Formats: sequence, structure tokens, C-alpha cells
Amino acid sequence: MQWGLRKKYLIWLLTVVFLGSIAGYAFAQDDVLYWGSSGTKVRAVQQRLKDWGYYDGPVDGYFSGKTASAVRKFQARHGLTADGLVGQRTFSAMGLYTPPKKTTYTVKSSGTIAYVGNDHNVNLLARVIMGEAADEPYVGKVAVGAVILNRTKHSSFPQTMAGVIYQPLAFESVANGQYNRAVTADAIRAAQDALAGYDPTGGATFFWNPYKPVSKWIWSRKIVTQIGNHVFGL
Amino acid sequence: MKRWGLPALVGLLILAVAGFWGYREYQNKVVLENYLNSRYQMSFYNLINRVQNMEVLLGKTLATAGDTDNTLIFSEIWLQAEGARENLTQLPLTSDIVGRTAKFLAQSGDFARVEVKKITSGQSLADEEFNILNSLYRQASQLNRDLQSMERQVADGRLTVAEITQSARQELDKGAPTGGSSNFQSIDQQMQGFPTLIYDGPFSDHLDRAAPVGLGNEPTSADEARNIARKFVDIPDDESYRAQVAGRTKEKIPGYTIELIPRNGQAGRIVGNVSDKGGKIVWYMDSRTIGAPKLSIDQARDKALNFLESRGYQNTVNVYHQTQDNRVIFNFIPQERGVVLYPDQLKVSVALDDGQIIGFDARGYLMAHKERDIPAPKISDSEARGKVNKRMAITRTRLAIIPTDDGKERFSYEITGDINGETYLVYVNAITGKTDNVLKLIEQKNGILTM
Repeated sequence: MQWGLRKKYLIWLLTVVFLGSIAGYAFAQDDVLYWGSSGTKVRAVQQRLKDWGYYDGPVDGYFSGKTASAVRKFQARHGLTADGLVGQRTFSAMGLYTPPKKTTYTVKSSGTIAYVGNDHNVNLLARVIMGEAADEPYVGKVAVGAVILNRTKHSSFPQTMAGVIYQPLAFESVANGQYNRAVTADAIRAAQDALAGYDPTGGATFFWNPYKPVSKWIWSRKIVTQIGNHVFGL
Repeated sequence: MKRWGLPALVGLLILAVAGFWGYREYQNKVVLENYLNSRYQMSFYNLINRVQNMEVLLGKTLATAGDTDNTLIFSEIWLQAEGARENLTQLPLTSDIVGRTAKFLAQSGDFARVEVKKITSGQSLADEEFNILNSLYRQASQLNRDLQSMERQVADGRLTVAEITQSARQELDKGAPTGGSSNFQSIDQQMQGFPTLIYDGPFSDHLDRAAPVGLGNEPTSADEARNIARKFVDIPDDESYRAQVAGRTKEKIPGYTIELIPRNGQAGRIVGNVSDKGGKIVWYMDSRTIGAPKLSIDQARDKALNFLESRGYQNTVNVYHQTQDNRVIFNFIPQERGVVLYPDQLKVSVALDDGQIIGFDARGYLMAHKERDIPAPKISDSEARGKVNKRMAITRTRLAIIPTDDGKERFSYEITGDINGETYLVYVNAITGKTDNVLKLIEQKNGILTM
């Protein structure tokens, strides 16, 4: 029985750990607030609950036990499962739910005469610009597009745009799939400008963020300019 | 026993599910790894084959030098070299490891292409070119030998492409080549001995040294640069912007990066470059949002022309435009004594909501514009028109200076005409009467594309 008891606890422990890890994973993915969460969303929830008289604790952005019981009260009143977790349905019941932005821009195809055109290049370039320079100023976006186009004209790189973009280890956002995010109108516009021949770098074939760890070798390149968080080199 | 029987069952079930899931993931990973490995192996073996072909073909040119049969051999070298470069750049190696080897392949192919052009226009190989071929041949056989020895390691199982991938990744972190990719690194170092190639192709070394000729000489101070930018940029009220020097640039046209910052914070920043020598605006861009279009393309074109004239770019013609969302990008070229100068291009972007010039680029103009000694054409325009296909209905003939791949210029007749309802531009050399280039105009709703 001693052995059986230990085994029993062991199995329970394993089960709990396993379920816990799955649950934690799921919550992290779905942006659910629960006991222990913190941040501006928690603050907004607390404010709502306080305004409506469910909650009398501090609006401090920390999901405490008090907050949880207020949430449970709110849920019971509104016909939701009283689990004390603030998920999408509880958010909408509180009027706090904003649907995730899913704005996908693609170049409007001109759709006349021939299938020969530049739209596919604009879309491909815009995606890499999005992956590599989403938070850069506009000129920085055009510059990243220009670097890709400069590479196609340089003897050390593939000579097509797809060849340059999909060259292994060339662009981090392509390697980790980040460039597959929805592109913004700004990224499309930057890609169009780069393809129209605007080049703020004056012929650079490399760019990197000096504030991030990069290969030491990259510093042997001749730096021509800096735009936003990127330096551009030859 | 019964009290813990059920939980145990549940626990075991979960473990089994997790195990099964993990095994499936592992299987998928193996499949993907094999797939990727095969792609890399394919690139690697194709690379070896193509380099080997190059070696043999370059050898053949030495044996038959001067013969017009060379055209075939040279075009084949071009084909093999381009393929080899593509294969090499598909391997998971960074450009610091394969850069020089890629350049060797690019230049060999490029050189062969230039030779094809020369031979078809009736010239024969000079001694100098024979020497270049000789050295290219020796380089190619060295490269071939190195790749073959790597191949033996791969075949022995001493080196897998996965290893090269992994070491390339580590090296991105560490900075020093390890394992498989060091093999490529040593090949690349041998390529360093490869001589500078001067010939008439786009990858020729002399192009890297091209310097701007349209600038002027007087140096510009940072303060002057700020004023130049503020006066040049098309802004409704110059008082509402503050100009500041954001940095120096060391590109082909060195100078200052100037930012125009709106005082009221509503509008966006305008960024541009002013050249050190001559104090010329190289480019500027305003990234403000553009409202609903109110202007037609023609009205926008007038705005662009006015802008160019007021900024000292007189007598230009619009050759091409593209509409993108609510703006139009126009390409203008200057005209001199009835000859249009394609190398000296200017770009102007016009916002269609209020006609503001939101983008300008004079890089082409500043790099190429100079006093040109334009000769009298040796052939007449009717002779030139006789060179194009008889079925083409010619709509316009004019003289033009056109840029070539190698940064030089040619003096040609530009003959525009229609065949089967499609428009083509044929460039016939005004001195030799040979066809320099053929372009097709692709008319789209948002502009005209030349290809």
C-alpha cells in the first residue's frame, strides 16, 4: 500500500503538471486574464467592475483574489460561466472587447490587357519590408526594400528578387516566418517606391540593427548611412 | 486499489497521448529535415556539375579562340555560370562565406555574355581577352577541384549538408566559421587571388568605382544643407517646418541627411539627402497620408513639370508614369538639341489630393548629367526606320542617348511603333545602324511598364 500511495501521488502530480502546462500554454495564446495577471487590460477590467459596483479594491492593474471574486459575481449576473477568468466573452459583456485587427492589404491588380506586371513583386517585397522593418520610419522601410533590389544587381548575390529574399540565412524574418504577417498600406507603399527606384541608401547591400546582437563580421562592411534603427552598408 | 485506479488510468492515457503526439512531431521533423537536406544536396551537386561544365567550356574557348563558333560556347558558359551562382546562393551559407565565389561565377557569366555580343557584332577576341579567359579557366579548375574534394567528404558521410547548415547557424552567433562551412570559406579565400576584371558588363569591377559627374565642386556646410532642403522641398508654408541635420551619408553621392520636422506635429516628417559637393538635393520623401484623389494625371504632370522648372531642371520631357493608390510617380528626362537623355533621369511623386510633390529623386541626373558632345548621326532616320520589322507601324522616331549595362552611353534612334496592337520601342544605333535594344511597353490601368 505504501508503494501504491506513492505511485498514486506521483500520477496525480504528473497529471496536474501536464494539464497545467497545457492550460498555461492555452492562456498565453488566447490572452485570457486570470488570478496573477497584470497590465493595462486588468486595470480596464477593474475600472469597469468598480464603476458598476462589483469591485471595491484598488484599480492597480493587478488581478488579485478580490478581482477574481468580483469577476465571478459579474459573470453570475450576466449568465456567463462563473470561473473568475476574463476571456473573450467576459470582455465583450463588459464592453471591452475589441476584435483583433485583420487588415490585409494587397496591391490592387490593374487587371487589364496583359498578365505581365509588377504586382507580385510589390507584394513579395512588402512582406519582407513588413518582417524586417515594421516599426521603422517610412524612409527606413523604403531603404530595406532598396537593399533587396540592390542585391539583385550585385555580383555576390542571387540575381532575382525571390532568390535574394529566400537565400538561406539572409533575412531573419523569412527564416522564422515573421514576414508572413499581414502587410500594412505603408509597407505596400514603401515597396512600390523602392521598385520605382527610390533608394535612400544609395546602393547599400546590407542592413542591420546595431542594438541587437549581430555577427561580428557584419561590422567589417562599410557603413554608408543610418536610418531609424538600422545601419546600411556596402 | 480502486481509489487510485481511475486517476492512474487517466494519467497513463494522457502520457500515451502526449507520447504519441511527440512521436508524430519527431517523425514530421525527420521528414522535413530529409526534404531540406535533399534540396541542399541537389543545389550542391548541381553546383559541382555546372562548375565542371564551366571549366571544360572555358578550356574549349582557349583552343578555338578567334573562331565565330565561339558564340555557342560563350552562351553556354553564361548559362552554366548563372545556374552555378543560383545553386551556390541557395546553399545555407552566409554571403561572407560565399560572396567572392558568387562574384567569380557572376563575372565569368557576365564576361561570356559580353563576348557573345562582341562576336555577333563582328569583332574578334583581343589578346587581352584571351589572357582573361586563361585566368578564368585556371580559377574555374581550382574551384572545381575544391568542390570535388568536398563532394568526396559528403559522399563518405564525413560531412552532411545538415552539418553545414548547423555550423552556419552557430557562426552567425559566434562570428567564426566552424565545421562544414569553413570548407566553403577556404574556397572563398582562394577566390581572392582572382584578378580585377575590366570589361563591358554590368558586373565589371569598374562600375563600383563610378562617381557622380553632375554635382559641382563647392563644398556645402551643414547649415547651407538645411537651407537648401527647406527651400527645395515642396511645402506650402516653409515656416511650419524646422530643418535639422539627421546625419552624414557616405554613399556614392556623399552628403547630409536632412529632416524637416513639422512644428505643429500634425504632418509627417520629410526626409531627404543634400550632396556635400554642389549642395544638390539627391532625393526627398514625404510619407504623409494622402486623401481622396482630386487631380487628374495630366494636372499632376503639370504640377511636376512646374516643380522641376522652378527648381532649375529646365526642358524635360515625361517618359513614363505609374499610378499607385493616390499618387503618381513620373519619370522625366532632359532634352538637349532634340536628343532625349535617358541616363539623366529625374523622378517626381505627386500626391493626387492637393498636387503636392511628395517625392523627388535626382540620383540618375546627378550621377550622369554632364556636357555631352553629341555627334551628328551617321545614318539617317529613314535608314534607321528601315532596320525595324516591316510589319511595325511606326508612330514616332527621335534621337536618344541611352545607358548601357556597363555604365556607358549609346547614341540611338528611338523608334516607337505598334505590332498587333502592342507597342514596342526599338533602339537603332545612330552611328553603326545596329539594333541596341528592344523594349515592350505594357500599358496598364495604373501606368506604363517597359520591359
